[in-house]
Amino acid sequence: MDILRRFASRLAGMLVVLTLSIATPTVIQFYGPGGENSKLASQGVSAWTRAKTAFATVWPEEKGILTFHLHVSTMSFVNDFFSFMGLAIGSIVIAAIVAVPVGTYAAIQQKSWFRTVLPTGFLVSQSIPTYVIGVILILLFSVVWPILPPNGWNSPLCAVLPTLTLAAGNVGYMGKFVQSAVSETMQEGYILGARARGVRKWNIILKHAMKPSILTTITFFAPQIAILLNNALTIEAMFAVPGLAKLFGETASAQGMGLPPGVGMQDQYMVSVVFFIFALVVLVMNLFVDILYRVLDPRIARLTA
Amino acid sequence: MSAAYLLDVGNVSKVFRLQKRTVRAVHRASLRVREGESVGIVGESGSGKSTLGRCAVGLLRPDEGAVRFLGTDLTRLSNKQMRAQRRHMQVVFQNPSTALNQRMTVGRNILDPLLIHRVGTRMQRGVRVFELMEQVGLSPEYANAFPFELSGGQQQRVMIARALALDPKLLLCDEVLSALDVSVQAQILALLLDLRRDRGLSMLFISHNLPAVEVLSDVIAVMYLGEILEMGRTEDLLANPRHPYTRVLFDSVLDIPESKAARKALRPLPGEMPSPYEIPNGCVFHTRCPVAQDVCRREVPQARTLDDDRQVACHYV
Repeated sequence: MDILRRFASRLAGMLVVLTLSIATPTVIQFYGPGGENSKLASQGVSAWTRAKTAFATVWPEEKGILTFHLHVSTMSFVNDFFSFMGLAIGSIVIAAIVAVPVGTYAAIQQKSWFRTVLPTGFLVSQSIPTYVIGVILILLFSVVWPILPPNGWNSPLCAVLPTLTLAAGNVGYMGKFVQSAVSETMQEGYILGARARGVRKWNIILKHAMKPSILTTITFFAPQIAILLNNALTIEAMFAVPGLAKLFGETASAQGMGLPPGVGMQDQYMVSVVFFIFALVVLVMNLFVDILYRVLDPRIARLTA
Repeated sequence: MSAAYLLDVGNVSKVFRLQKRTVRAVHRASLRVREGESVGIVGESGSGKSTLGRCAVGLLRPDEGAVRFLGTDLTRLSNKQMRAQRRHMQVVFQNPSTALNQRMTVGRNILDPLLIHRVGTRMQRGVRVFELMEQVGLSPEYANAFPFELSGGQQQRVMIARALALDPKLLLCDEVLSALDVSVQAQILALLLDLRRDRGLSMLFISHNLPAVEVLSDVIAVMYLGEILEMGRTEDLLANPRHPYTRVLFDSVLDIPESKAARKALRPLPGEMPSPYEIPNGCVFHTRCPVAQDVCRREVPQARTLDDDRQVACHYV
């Protein structure tokens, strides 16, 4: 029963956050300077008046702006969402595939050169801005050795470069995190206990040390999808991926440009919706992590059940 | 070096390198455990007790010396051969809450060594787990509990059950009492005594709790700064400590006399143990020794065997 109550209170908290995530862009867009309800609106230069004019070119004003969205195909929006999620999740998975073994190896490796070289590699991966990595990858794999398309979204190959770019920055963060988590776990008493009863070295690392380390890594990184959103804004634009982040960037920056929706996408409601979806993704990731934690670590489940 | 010894630790040294400094944790320590015998190692914190114990069961590879277990030198074994030997020597660690895998149930923790060494069938292993739990005085209903749901004493019982699962010949008890409450210490001590009596288990019992070591050990080795200063049969050693360090160590134990009049003055050990980074020249104990002379500052006293099976490293004994 207690678990249900916890879950309910968690959902209530999520609802509050989601409400705020609708309120925030709405308030900024409609009540901020230049918005429909701001004092500047009366001077006739507001983004809103331009938006209304733009809307009028594709949708008769007497039908009301809000009904416009009921008549547009939702498919393109859904496609944008899945392109974005594909990139985001794909890049996290790739980063994990590289970072977890490398970080673990770094943690158990005694050789001094490895211990110096690897953290430097992680640091480089962390400190190069994502868009620079993107440019370098395009140069390498589309220009110098043209095996991958530099942009577009019409074949699975197109996803390779943007996913790798997004993953590259995360490898450093994640690798460092895994390294410290594993070396910390290796100090635990039960690791020595496992050695004392004759568990093989690799079994100790895989079963006894990596499991809890990966758990901490997941809990840290699933919510990091918020940072990924940030990078996705530039990367989707750079690789011309029709994803949610690109949609958000374009709609938000097209405000006041007087372009009709669906073309240059001057659409305040769209901005609010995408903002809402981003918030929802982050919340769901957090919820997922908490559930996963309960499943994987019996201590949490037993002590709070 | 007869085969009568289960464990024969000969001249073992272990140095740890921490960045640029080196710590001499154990220096030329020798120790023998006969079958069914219990050897206690006492000393202050940092005297190298645990390091010596870990070298003795092959958890650490000594820099020098040999560790012979039933005639095989553990220091020369490959990792694979060492793993096979481990079932004969199990360890009970100091802090049960960290030494047990907290993500596994109690039953699974006790089962683990049986799985690792592929003992018996599934059924037999299950039966064995409950047998072990009974032997260490744990109610079978705890098998599905997680260690963190148990008290410290119960967790220590789980650890003892886990250590006994493979029917080891040698049990290393590394400060098994120090993380427990006093009343629980007595229970665990009683359990260890029972196990020793019933199974004829050989033990290496490491502790700074002198009375516990006295109760449990046939032989006591006194360590200081990585060296064994004195070693002898428990009764003899208690009745007649020869090394000045052993004497001050025994004097510093708080004992509760029957009457107020019988209360003897508690004499704490003067000064502090020198840093293991800077081992004094000559005898390691000379900086605090009440009888130290010039020779003690110059020359390292060699361990000599006295008449009553006693070994002492002191110029003045």
